[in-house]
Amino acid sequence: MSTLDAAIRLRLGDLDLDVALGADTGEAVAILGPNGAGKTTIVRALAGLVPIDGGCITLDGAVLDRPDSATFVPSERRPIGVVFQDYLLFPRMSARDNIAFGLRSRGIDKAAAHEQADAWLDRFGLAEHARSRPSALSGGQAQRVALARALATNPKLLLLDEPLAALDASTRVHVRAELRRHLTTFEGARILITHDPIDALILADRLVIVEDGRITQTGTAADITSRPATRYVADLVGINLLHGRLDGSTVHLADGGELTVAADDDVPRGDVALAIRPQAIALYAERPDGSPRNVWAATVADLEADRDRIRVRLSGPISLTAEVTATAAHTLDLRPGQQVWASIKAVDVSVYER
Amino acid sequence: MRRRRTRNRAPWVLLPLAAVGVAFIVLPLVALLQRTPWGDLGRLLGDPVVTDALRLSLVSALVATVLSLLVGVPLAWVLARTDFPGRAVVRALVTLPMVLPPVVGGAALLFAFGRRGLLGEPIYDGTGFLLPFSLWGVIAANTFVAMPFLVITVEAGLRSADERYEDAAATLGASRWTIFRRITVPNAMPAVLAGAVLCWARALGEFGATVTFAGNLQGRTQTMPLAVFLALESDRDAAIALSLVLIAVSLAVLIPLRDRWLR
Amino acid sequence: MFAAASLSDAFTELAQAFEAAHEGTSVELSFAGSSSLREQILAGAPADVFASANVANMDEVIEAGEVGSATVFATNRLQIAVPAGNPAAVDGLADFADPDLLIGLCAEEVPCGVLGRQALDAAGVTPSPDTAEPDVRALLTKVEAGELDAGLVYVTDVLAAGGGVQGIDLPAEIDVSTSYTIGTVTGSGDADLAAAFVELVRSDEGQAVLERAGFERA
Repeated sequence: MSTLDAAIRLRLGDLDLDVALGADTGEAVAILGPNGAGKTTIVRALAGLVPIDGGCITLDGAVLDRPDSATFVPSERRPIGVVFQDYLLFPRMSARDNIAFGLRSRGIDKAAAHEQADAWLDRFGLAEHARSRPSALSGGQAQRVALARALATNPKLLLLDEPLAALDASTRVHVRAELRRHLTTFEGARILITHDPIDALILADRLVIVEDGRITQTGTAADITSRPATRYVADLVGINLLHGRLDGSTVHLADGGELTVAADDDVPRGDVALAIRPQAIALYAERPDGSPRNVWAATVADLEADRDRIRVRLSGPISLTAEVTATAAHTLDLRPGQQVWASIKAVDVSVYER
Repeated sequence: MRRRRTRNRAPWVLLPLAAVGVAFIVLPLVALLQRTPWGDLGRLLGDPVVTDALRLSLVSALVATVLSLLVGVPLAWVLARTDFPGRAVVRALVTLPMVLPPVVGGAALLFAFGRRGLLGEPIYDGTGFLLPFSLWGVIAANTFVAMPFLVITVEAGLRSADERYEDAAATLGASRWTIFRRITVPNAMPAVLAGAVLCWARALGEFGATVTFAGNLQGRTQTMPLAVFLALESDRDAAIALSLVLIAVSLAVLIPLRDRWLR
Repeated sequence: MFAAASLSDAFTELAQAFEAAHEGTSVELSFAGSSSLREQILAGAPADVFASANVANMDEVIEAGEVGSATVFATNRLQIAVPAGNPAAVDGLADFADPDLLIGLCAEEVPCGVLGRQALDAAGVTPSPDTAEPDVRALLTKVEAGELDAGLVYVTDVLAAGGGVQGIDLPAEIDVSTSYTIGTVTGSGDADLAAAFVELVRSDEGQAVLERAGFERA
C-alpha cells in the first residue's frame, strides 16, 4: 500500500505553512484554497524542491524529509511525478523527448526511452505529435504530454499543480473530463492543487481546504458541502451538484427535469454528474429573448444575503442555487414564492463521468 | 509564452537622436573609406604582414571565445544561481577587465604569467613553458579582456531564465549535471550565443593587453590591431587598408549574428 | 611645446628654468611619439615649438610649411638594456642572434627600431627577436620586468629607468645615433618666446641638462 504521510512546517517569505495531510494508494486528494494560501509550496515541499523546516514527509514508509533527523531525499531521487502549473514542458525538446526525459535521466538508453515515450503518446492520443515542439501543441495536448512525462517514470505519488489553470474556459471542460479519464488509470496516490472547486469536485475523492497556510477543513465533497467551516468554504460549496443520465447532449436529471449540455464525446453516455456555478445561472422576470436552450420557470424558495451578493434558492423542475448581485435582486424585486425565469448556457454545465 | 509582435511607433523625438547616434558611428567609417587608396588596395592586402595578422587575429579571437565559453558559462552560472559570501566582490572583479585600461591588464598578466610572474615563474622553471611572446599569450590577453562580456551576458540570461524548468527536470530524476547540460544551457542558449559574439568581437579588436603581454612579432603575435597601429607610424595607406579588412571581417560576422541573437 | 616622449625629463626641467627666467609665462608641454606629434601639427594643432626625436618627422613638417627651419640640438645613442643583474649574461650584440634568449627590439616602423637594425647590420648580426615593440618605453618595461633578456633602447631610456635595468654600451665602431631636431612652428602665437625657448635648449645650460639625461651634444 502506497501511502503519503506528510506534516509540513515551513516559513517562506510571508507564508507560514503548517499542514498535515496524507493520501492512500489510488486516492485522489484535492488541496483547495485561495491564491497565496501556500498550495504550491506544499507541492514544492512534497517534490523536494524546497526543504521543510519542521515535520516529516514519508512515502510508502520511506522518510523523504525530516529535519529532526537531518534526512532529506533530493527531488531527483523521490518517486514522485509532478504536473506543474503551465506544464513547464522543455521548450527545445519534442513531445517525445519531453516524455523520454525522465527515463533517460534514470539511465535508460535512448531507443528504449523513445519506445516507452511513443507508447505514452499513443495511449494519450498524441501519436502524431511525437515530433512537435511544445509551442506547437494546444493547451490540452500540452497537458497530456506533461501528464505522460510525469507518469512515465512510474511514480508512487502524482502531484498536479493547477493542471487546468493555463486553459481558457472553452477548452477547460473538455480537458478536465479527459484528465479525469487519464488519472483513473494511475494507481498511485494523487494530490491535486487547485483554486477551482469544480476541478476539485470532479478530480478528487477527498478535499483538503487550505487557507493562509493552515488546513481549515477536510473531508469528502458531501462532508464539506453539509458543514462549511469557513467563509471561503461556504462560498465554494455554493456549487450545485446534480446527477443524471447523459443521452446525446441532454442530461435527464435524477430528480426530474433535463438540461442541455456541451458534453464532450469523451464523456461516456450514461450516469453522469453535473456541476454548475451559482453565478452561471441567470434570472429574468420575463422569459428571455433568444434561445438559450436551458430556460425554465422556477420559484424562489428563499433568499440569503452575503454582502453584496444574494444567493437565491430555486425550486421547480430543477432545484438549484443561483447567485445574483444585490442590484439585480433589487431590480427583479425577488421575494420568496415569486416566479422567475432561470437560464444557463450549455457550456456552463460541467459534465463528468460518475 | 510567445508575445505577438506589435508595430512600434517611435515617439518622434527619438528619431533625430537615433540618427545622431548612427551618424556618430558611421561618419568615421565613411571618412576611412574616403581616405582609402583603392588603387593600391590589392597590393596592400596581399602583403604577408596583412595575411599573417588576419590569420592570427581570427585564430586568437576564436580560441579566446571557445576558452571563454568553457570557463565563462560555468562562472556565469555560479554568479547567477548560487549565493556565497563575497559574491558581490567576485562579480565586480569579473567585470574589472572591462573598465581596466587594457595596457594595465596586459601588465598585470605579465606580472602573473610572465617569466618572472607570480604563477609564470614556477611554471617556466618547471616546464620551460612561457605564455608571453607566443600565440597563447595573445589568446590569454584576448580572453582576459573579452571574457567579461560573455560572463555578463550569460549571467543576465540565466537570471531571467525560468528556473522552474530546472525544478521540473529534477522531479523527473535528472542529476544536477544533466539539468545544467540539457535544460539550463539550452534555455540560456540565446544569451550564450549573444555573449560569445560580443566576446569574439571584443577579442578581435583587442590591442593594449595583447601588445603589453604578448609583444608584437609578425607571424607570431602580431594581430590586426597591432599591425594597424604600427602601420600608422610609417605607412598610413597600409594602415587604412588593414583597418578596412578588420571592419569587413567584423561586419561579415556581426551582421548576420547580431540580427539573430543580439536583440 | 610639442616634444618627443624621450625628452620628457629633460624638457620638464628646462621648462621650469624657462618659466623662472621669463616671469609670467608658463610652458605647456605635450609629450608623445614624434610621428604622432607630426600628425597633430600637420592637422593644425596649436604648437609653438616642435622637438622631434629624428630628422625625418621634422622634414615632413618643414615640407608642409608648418615649421620654418630646424636645427639638431642633441643626439641619442643606442644601448643594450638588460634586467638588473643581467641574468642571461648578455655581453654584446651577438647575443641578439641567440634563439634561446628572449630578445626585444623596437618595431621597424618606429625610429628606435630603424636605428636598432642599423646597429645589428653594422655588427653583422641577424637577430632572432621575440617581440618588436611599438615603442621604446614598452620594450624597456619588459626588460625591466625580466621578461626579456635584452633589448636595444636609447641610452637616455636606460638612465631614466634607474636601477631596474643595466645598460651595455655598443662597440665604438658601431656608430648609430639619432639626431634630435627643434624648430619653431610658423603659426606660433608668440614667435619671440618660442625662439627664446629654442635658444635655451641650445645654450650651455640646456645642453648640460640634456647631457645629464644621457643625450650627447650635437
